[in-house]
Amino acid sequence: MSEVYIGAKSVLCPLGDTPSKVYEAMLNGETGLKSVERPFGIDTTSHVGLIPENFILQEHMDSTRLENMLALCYERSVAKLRFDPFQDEDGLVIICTTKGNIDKINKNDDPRLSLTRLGNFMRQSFDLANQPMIISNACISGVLGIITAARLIRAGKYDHVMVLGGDIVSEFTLSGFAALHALTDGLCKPYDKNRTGINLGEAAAGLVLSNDDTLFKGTYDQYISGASANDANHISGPSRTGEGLHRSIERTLNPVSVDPEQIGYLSAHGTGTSFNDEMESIAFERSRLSDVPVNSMKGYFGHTLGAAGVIETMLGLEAMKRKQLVPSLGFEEMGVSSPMNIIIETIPPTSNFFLKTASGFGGCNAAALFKVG
Amino acid sequence: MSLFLKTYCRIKDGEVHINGELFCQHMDEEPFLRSVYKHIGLTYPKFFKMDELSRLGFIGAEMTLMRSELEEYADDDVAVVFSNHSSSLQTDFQYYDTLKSGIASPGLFVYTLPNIEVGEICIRHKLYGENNFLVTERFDAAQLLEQCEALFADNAAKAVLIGWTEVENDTHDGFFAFITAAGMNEVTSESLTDIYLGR
Repeated sequence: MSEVYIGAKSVLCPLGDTPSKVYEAMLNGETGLKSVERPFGIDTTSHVGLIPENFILQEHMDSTRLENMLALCYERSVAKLRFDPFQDEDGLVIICTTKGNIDKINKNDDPRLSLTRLGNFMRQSFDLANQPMIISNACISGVLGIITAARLIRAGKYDHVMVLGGDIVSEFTLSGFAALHALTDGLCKPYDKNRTGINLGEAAAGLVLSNDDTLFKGTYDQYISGASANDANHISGPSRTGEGLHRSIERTLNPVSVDPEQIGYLSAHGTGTSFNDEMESIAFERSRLSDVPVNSMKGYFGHTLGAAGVIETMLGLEAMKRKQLVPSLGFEEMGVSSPMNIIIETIPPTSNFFLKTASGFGGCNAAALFKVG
Repeated sequence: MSLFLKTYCRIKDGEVHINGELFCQHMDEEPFLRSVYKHIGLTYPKFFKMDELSRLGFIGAEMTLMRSELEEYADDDVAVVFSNHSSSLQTDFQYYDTLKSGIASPGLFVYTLPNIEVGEICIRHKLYGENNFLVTERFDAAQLLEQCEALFADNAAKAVLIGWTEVENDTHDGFFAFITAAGMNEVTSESLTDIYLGR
């Protein structure tokens, strides 16, 4: 099986516009989540993670906020490659998003609402050889994009794939999670006894996967394996047994003969809702991951939906490279029924294997394994 | 890598075709998908809670999987990879209307993700395998079969239920196919496109 390398990180989120800046803000315990008076007209005290306007450059006259974010990440990831491989047939861009330009829904029949518009925009802006692939699979979109990229490379379909994740905070998503009573007051507290829900955040992030390690100017890591699995249980409630998440982890580790005990760091989904976090703790115990250092990044920039898997994988790889894992912000007192080794102060990873997991509506779950250094 | 077509189903213009043969037509006063549901004698109350996109996916999966010897596969050997052009946009508008009328509907909001229909299918058929949802300009057989190949090459599935589900008001454009890594009836993106187009 061919090796798959991963690198060329880019990011745009409430905490900063470079991987280093964001990671260092996290090391300092900063959060990008802020109190906003009736955000987007929604009656909530839940803090939101908004990208500062001065981070986002207007790409074209009529390009949207999300398109500008994706374009910026594309440019910054490509700048970390020796050449731009995406103007050739053997390069592909995958865009992971749940809702795309959903901020345009107030204008009926706005063509920018179509998710394919993001692909058209990127293709035209950067002269891409192939039409970008659009993955919209709820909150696992980002991790699924990375897994899909690696599989396409291993199947010999492409040599280089950029995975871009992007979602914005909007009236649409904020009102929906409010209607589901899923938003926390103030700040989220993943895995904590007093957790009451999520914060929404917005982000775009990019990673490049390739079978050619000379593509990268700087450091790169290795993608090892990954899998998705469905709970086959409920469309909006996590499985009580963590079935799908457990299966996705088993199907990630077993084929490559990596034992759960060998994992040095687990970046979990940790939304801060009662049911999600509890489900994860059960799945992790079933998967023998209870002792692995684990955190949720949601307290730093919120739940970024389709971008979450890309930005959190990207920052997890950064933390592994620097050998300093950051605390699970918002966590104080154990609030899940199965044991977890939640990171409460900066520590080094216990090995060079990094596992990323995600779960989402539709009963979907995904896991991906990386080797760093 | 060779791919094989086991079963396929076409749902369009008030007709359901299975493996190229007419299975049923829209005859009665009921909305089309409800009448198909009745025609096949299903008892699955969750069907009535679903949005139209999920109903289309649900019926298509039912028709296809029932004829694909599903019992021969382990419960995580069958992947579900769906696609469409409009994502969940029709339900997005319905949800947004409830928001603007003053009471945002949480029940509708849940359906504002296209992969919810994949979740409904996995619940119904107890499928714990791989999932993906791709959004493309039009039915893209090459991209869907490429996904099958990538899954088979990674030993992540032994069969894939692929689907295309487009809903606009009361018109439906559904195509479903059970693709396997081993079998009799070899399929290519050209032949699958021909089947989709009814050529």
